[in-house]
Amino acid sequence: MTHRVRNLAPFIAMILMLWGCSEHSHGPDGHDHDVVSRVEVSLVGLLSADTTTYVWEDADGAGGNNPNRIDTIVLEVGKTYVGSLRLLNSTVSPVEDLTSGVRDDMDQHQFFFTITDSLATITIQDYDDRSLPVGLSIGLVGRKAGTGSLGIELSHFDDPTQKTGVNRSDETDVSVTFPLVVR
Amino acid sequence: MHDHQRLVCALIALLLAVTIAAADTHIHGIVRDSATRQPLAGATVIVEGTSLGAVAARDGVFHLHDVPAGRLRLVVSYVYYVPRTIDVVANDDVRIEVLLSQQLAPMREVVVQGVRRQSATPTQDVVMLTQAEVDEHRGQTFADVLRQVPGITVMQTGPSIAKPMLHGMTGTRLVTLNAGIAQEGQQWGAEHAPEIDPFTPDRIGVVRGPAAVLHGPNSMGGVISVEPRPLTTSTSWMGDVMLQGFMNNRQGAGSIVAERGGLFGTPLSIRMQASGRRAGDARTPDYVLRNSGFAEAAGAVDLGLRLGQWSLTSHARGFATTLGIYEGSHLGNPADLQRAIERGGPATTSAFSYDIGRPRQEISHRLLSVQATGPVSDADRLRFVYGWQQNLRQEFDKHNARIVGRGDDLVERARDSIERLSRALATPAMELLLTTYTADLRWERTILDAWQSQTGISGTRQVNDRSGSVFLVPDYLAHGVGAYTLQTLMMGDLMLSGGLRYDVRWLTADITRRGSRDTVQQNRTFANLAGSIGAAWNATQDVRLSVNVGTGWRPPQVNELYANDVHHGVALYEVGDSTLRPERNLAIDAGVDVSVRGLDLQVTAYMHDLDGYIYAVPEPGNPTVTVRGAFPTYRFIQHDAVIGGIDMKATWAVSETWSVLGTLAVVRGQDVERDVPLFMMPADRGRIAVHAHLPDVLGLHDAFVEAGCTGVRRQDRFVSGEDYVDPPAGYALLDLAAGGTIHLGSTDIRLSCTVSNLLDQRYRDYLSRFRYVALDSGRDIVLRLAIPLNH
Repeated sequence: MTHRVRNLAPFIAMILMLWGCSEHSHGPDGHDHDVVSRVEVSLVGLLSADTTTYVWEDADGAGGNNPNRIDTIVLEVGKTYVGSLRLLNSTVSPVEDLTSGVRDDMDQHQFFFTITDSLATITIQDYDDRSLPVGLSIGLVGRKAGTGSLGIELSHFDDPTQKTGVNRSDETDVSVTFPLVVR
Repeated sequence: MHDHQRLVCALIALLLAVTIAAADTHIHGIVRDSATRQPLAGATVIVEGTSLGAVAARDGVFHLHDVPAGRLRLVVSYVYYVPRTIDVVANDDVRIEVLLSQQLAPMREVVVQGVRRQSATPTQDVVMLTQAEVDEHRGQTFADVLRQVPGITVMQTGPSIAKPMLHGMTGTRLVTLNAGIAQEGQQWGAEHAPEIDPFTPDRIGVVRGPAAVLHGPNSMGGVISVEPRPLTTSTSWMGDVMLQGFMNNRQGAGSIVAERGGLFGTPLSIRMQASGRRAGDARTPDYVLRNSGFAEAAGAVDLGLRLGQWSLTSHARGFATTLGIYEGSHLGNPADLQRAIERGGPATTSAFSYDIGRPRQEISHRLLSVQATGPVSDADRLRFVYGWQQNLRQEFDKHNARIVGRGDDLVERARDSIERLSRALATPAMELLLTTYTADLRWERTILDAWQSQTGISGTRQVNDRSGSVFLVPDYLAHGVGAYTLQTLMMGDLMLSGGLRYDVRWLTADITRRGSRDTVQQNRTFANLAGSIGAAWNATQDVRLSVNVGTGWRPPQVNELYANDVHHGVALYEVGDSTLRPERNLAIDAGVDVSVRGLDLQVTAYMHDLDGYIYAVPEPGNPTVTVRGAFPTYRFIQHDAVIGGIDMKATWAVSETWSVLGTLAVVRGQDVERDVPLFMMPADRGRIAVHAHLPDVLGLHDAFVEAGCTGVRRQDRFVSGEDYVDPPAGYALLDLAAGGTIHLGSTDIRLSCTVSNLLDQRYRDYLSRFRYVALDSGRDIVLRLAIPLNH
């Protein structure tokens, strides 16, 4: 009889092993990382000093529903604007400002702007330690009347030496398009 | 290029010269199963009254050297088979072919695991790889071994993740049977490989036809079987040590197996196995794939106990791996992918490293199965299998590694950022814990000697718990019950079999959407019938014909129903459809096996008519717009489709020394509703090789040299513009292998060296998920060493 028990012991040990295991994972649900869900472009007319803020927002984050708000940027022909960009996470409450992440690591970031049909010209006003453009501060001039778009892309360079001022990285953090009207 | 080819020709000529040099009195031949014509590796051939003997190697071939001339009697035996004696007259060179038939009665004395009719019944379309074939082709992934089975191709995500594909079907359309139960991991993704140790000491094979009804609804494409070998009853320890080295990614791997019976003087047998491997970055002909290394550890304990005529066995398996994913394959948005495609390789060159950073997968799989089997009467046996397994998959993304610090000044922000970053780094973007319980009770009855019946019921319970920020599969709870029967009838040269199975599966999924705290519960019930009949006919001693007709089904998988997130590697959003219904197939296959002297030819043709085939297609009018740009949206749809093809395998023994091996696989898939070819169908491929069995030189026995060429056509069946790039060009790769056995004292050490992609050619395979951004691996030199440990 003791033999029987000893023979069965390994099997019993294995079955006991099962009870020690939970069916529930211990990872947290949703976790701490930064998602840009709202891009703001604030423009101030050089002589008028009136500030207009244009918003691109995907309030439920990437995936799910498509963006809930995309404003149309309106410029006047011949007028010069001074602009600044803000990146926000509006999926959390209170809304989190992520712009400092770019400002603190300017050497790892660069904004690229594309304007269709040469409706306006854009110049980057801020530079990192190596005098390479960043793009949080911009100057904008309306050139000719028409309808098109303003594309804003933020390239992230894990390795700052990869930033050349000209090339984009393979890691685009932000890529949004605002409709643009110049009149 | 031409110089390389000249070099290969010169090498072959040199080998030829060496082999002609020696000749002795030599008996050689091949041992096969009389019904299936499968070669029996490991069969022993002994010259009666002498100490001369040989063991059949790869492809069942054995060689007896320096035998005394004259009349001899050979005894050929193999476990589970009836031994045979054969009289031969030995002169310079004798060739024989030995057919052994299976024992129908259980071998109670020899084998602890009292599974009768261990091998499948004859009409089942079973391709079992021989131990020698497995040992010789153990690679860095489990799927590498399976490449030896005709009809299997491999879907690759970098060097470390390989998913087997049988006849154009993969993932959840195949069942992988591990230690008697269906392996349940996260099999829905292309980058989810089966969690099985490539060093597994188990027998590996593929089951198709009526026998697939034994294994549940997901087996519509076939069953990959990883079946434990019977435990030994020998009361001394034995085992082996295997070592491998791979030059390409500077990988080292090793495994040790030890087993014995009669523990504590009782009928208790044990087998233990432990293995590990560590690999660094893989290398293509032009650059190193940064962060493509991996680390793996696995272990197994098998116990077997005989209590009278009953036997009790348990199999415990543990497997853990950390897989680096090539950094350049993880992309921010489709424009990034486009830039990477135009560049064709990594943005920056990097040096070789063993480091595994991000992105990476950490996976562990634990499995336990307990099996009891025994007779309840002369003709009836019962078999009960209980299984428990738990799969933990953690995927760490590259993009989560950045945190913007909160605070008013730079120092405060930096501190906050570092603190939260270190927390985030330890947290996977997706964690899935899948727990599965299975139970199966089977009644086996021998009605007449020629009529055998297996009937059973089975049940499963599965719980998936998701956490993290990725929404590809939800939390769910699934229950399933099934009942099945398989009947086999043998009438002389004709064998018939038929199987029937009914399954019900209940699914409760808790769906949480991104950016929402609310959970929506959905209940679905799927029930359906599967059935299959097959016939095999030994038309003559040399020709065997077989045909199977069957219908199977597969419930829609949770990712097909509920996926709603981005796949970073291919920069696309995948969206499920919760209204999908089960898919069903009507499958027909026909095969012919011809084994005439010197030539072995197997040809199989198959056709699946699929009703409601589920796959993801792009929706060009509905991109997913995110802050990172617009991504293509792929939605799971359900269309009627047809998959068909032909497999061929031929072995031609030209002479005592030379043989020629050839394989060919052709698959076609078509969405008949949209009238377009199916995506990710393997391109036509074939391999031709010359194998030379060399005489003993310098203490090297059973030495061989093999030179082969694998050719893959371009996949020219595709929808132009649907994928980011059109399928890559076809390619041809050369490979070379050599090996043999060294007798050292009383042990036989086997060693071999294989060179794949001999000319270090640049190529991209259509089934490689990295083909958009990187070349496939370059030349690899693999060294394998197997040392038996017999006490």
